[in-house]
Amino acid sequence: MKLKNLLIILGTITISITVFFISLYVQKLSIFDRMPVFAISREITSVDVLFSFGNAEGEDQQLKQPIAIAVDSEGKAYVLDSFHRDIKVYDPNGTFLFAFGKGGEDLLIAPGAIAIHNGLVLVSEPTIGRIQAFSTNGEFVRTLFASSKTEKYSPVGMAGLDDHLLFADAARHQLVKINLDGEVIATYGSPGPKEGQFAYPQYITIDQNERIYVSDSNNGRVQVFDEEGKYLQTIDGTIGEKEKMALPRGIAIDRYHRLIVVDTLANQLRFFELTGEPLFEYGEHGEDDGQLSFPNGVATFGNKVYIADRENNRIQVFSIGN
Amino acid sequence: MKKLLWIFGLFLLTICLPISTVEAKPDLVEAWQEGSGTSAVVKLKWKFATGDRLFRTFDGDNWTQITIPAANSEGFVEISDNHNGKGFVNGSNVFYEIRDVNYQDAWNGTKRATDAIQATLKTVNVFIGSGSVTADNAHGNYVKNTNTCASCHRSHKGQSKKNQLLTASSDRALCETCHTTGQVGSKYLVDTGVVKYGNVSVNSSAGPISHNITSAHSGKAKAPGDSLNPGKEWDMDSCITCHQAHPKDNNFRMLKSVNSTKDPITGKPFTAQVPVEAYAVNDGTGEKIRYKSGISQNCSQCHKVFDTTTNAEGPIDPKTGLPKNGTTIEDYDGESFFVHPVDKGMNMHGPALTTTLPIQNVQNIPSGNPNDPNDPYFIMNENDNNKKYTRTSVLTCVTCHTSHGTTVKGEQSSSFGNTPNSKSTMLKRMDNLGMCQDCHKQ
Repeated sequence: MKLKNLLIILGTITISITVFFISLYVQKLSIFDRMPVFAISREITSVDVLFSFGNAEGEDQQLKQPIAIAVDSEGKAYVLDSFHRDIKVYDPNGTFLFAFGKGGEDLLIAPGAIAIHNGLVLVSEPTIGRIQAFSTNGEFVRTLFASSKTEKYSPVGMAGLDDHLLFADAARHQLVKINLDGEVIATYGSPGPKEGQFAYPQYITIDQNERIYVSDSNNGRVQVFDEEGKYLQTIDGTIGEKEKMALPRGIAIDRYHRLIVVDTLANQLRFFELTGEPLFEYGEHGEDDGQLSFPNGVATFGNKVYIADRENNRIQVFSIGN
Repeated sequence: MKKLLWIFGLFLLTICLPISTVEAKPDLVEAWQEGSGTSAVVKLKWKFATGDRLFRTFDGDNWTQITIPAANSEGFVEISDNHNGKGFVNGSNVFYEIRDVNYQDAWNGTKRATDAIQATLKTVNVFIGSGSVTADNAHGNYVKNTNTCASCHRSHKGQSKKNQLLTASSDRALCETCHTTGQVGSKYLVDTGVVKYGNVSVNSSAGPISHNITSAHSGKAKAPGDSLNPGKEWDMDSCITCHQAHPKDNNFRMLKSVNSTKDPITGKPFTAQVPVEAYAVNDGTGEKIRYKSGISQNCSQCHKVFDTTTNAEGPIDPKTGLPKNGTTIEDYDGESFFVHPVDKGMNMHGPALTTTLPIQNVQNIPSGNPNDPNDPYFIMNENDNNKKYTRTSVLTCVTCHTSHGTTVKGEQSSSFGNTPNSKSTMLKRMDNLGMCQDCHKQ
């Protein structure tokens, strides 16, 4: 009798564990994503201001309305200055190095977002419908993607996925997958508010399990897809009676596997578990250190988070732990 | 017995209190799109009132009545409009009106632009394939999620008392979050003056407000010819000087309604709030503006001297109901001068004219004989799907000028600017004075 009970208990445990791991597999999550209690990072419930750059008085090449940022493997920051329509490059301490995109072959007409993939600095131009590729020295390499006369796209945020590139298409409200020859391989989604649909999608980030996170900006949410574009879940910030995000734009995943979403209209950074569980919010409107004014793009490097603080004309750098 | 009354009273209170605190539902029309292309359906839902009728148009001229089914038990009706089985072209604009029992059909066409008439209408603008088909955003209403009001406003720590307790010190920063080329949160991108959607990217009627401009409405400036507000400086960097963020009138481009002392069509004495009525006609391949009325009144809130109908005392043509005189004399700052007329019937005679410039109030009606000097009709059918321009068609300020900015060449000296003889391209639509030749073709 006792043995029978023991077997029932063991069987139940085995089935539970099996179901748990199957659910992880289906959702493309690791065990640590599901067990945040074991992650020391979850004790971090705020961020600290480290420094800002781009708007110091007398500084050469001051930023005006920066909206996007990417950081390379050496910690150099590439900032998209939307007013001057160029890319300004800074060293890891925030010292200006050089700018590119202002003229000649590398002329940027209307840049919208920036990303680094396979050693190339990629700059999207939504209204032109193309993606320009530069070296990390700012030399124009080639046009990676261009809309045709009949098929026009508005690429905004981009993210590399193996030998492909994904971009958010704000004209057709979809996610577009291209190869590195600029050919469209697949498109995902359609205009609308339902699951898998988009309203002005803006930025993309990809986690270690190749789950794709898209800021579905005008729908006030982040949607998550697998690498084949299959809809997995929605993160809108409302779990736990929290407020829905107003206008999510920049998104990134930090070293502790947390999703950072820049809520532009709320002047906030919102931190989530990759499962969508809200962790904490940071920021309020203002111009002092730590305050934000229409933040837009975000990038991470080590324990640093870089925010394109648009109306403060600066990049703010925050520490997210040791 | 007394106890019984108390208990009954308390019971009544218990019932009534919750009822009285139920928030009244706003007068809202919900709209959404299902399917796409030939299978696209527009859904509309609202609380039905006896006498409500529903109409659809693509251009403001041709209105199709749509049958309204019976209301449900809560009094709501839900319409599925599939455009007679044809669906809707991606990128096209569709306009609906729910006309209440007080709406008079005689108001159709060109006589609808007053606040009294607008009060009988609920209007819904649907942008097919735009992701969010109606203005369920800052420009619509946030009834579904009023928390989002806090995105732009705060009740106790606003940055500007004149700007509706905005979280930002400038409303322009809010607007630019969606309406600029780099940030593309809307199809209307004002910095470059582009309307961008789907496969189409066209120049907007208003022109660019900041990119490659040779002149623009920007900065703090006195308006040339502002006899209504002498000496006043207008903040043209503030979008809400001309636009409403939360339009109550659903005007074209959310322009503010203005107080007018003349009929927006005939120029006859008249006192009312005049909304701007126009339609962004879009068949999916481009966007052309069909101005119906009110645009010059809007401009003349600052540039009054150039609004020639205000002081027009010329004889009225009985056939057209419009002043006959072609130009008029204005008095301003002790000076008299002639001004090219606006808002007057183009009762010209002679060979047919064509123009690429926007004319107000074009209609699909048979044209007269353009070669008959006694026939006041004339035809300008270029670039506007062969629409016929009739005697009630008028030039407006935006026929020759853009409202945001321009990239054209050809500066001219201004006799009205803040600095005498200052030069500017004056928001013109064409290089130099190309607009003259575009109509007059001398």
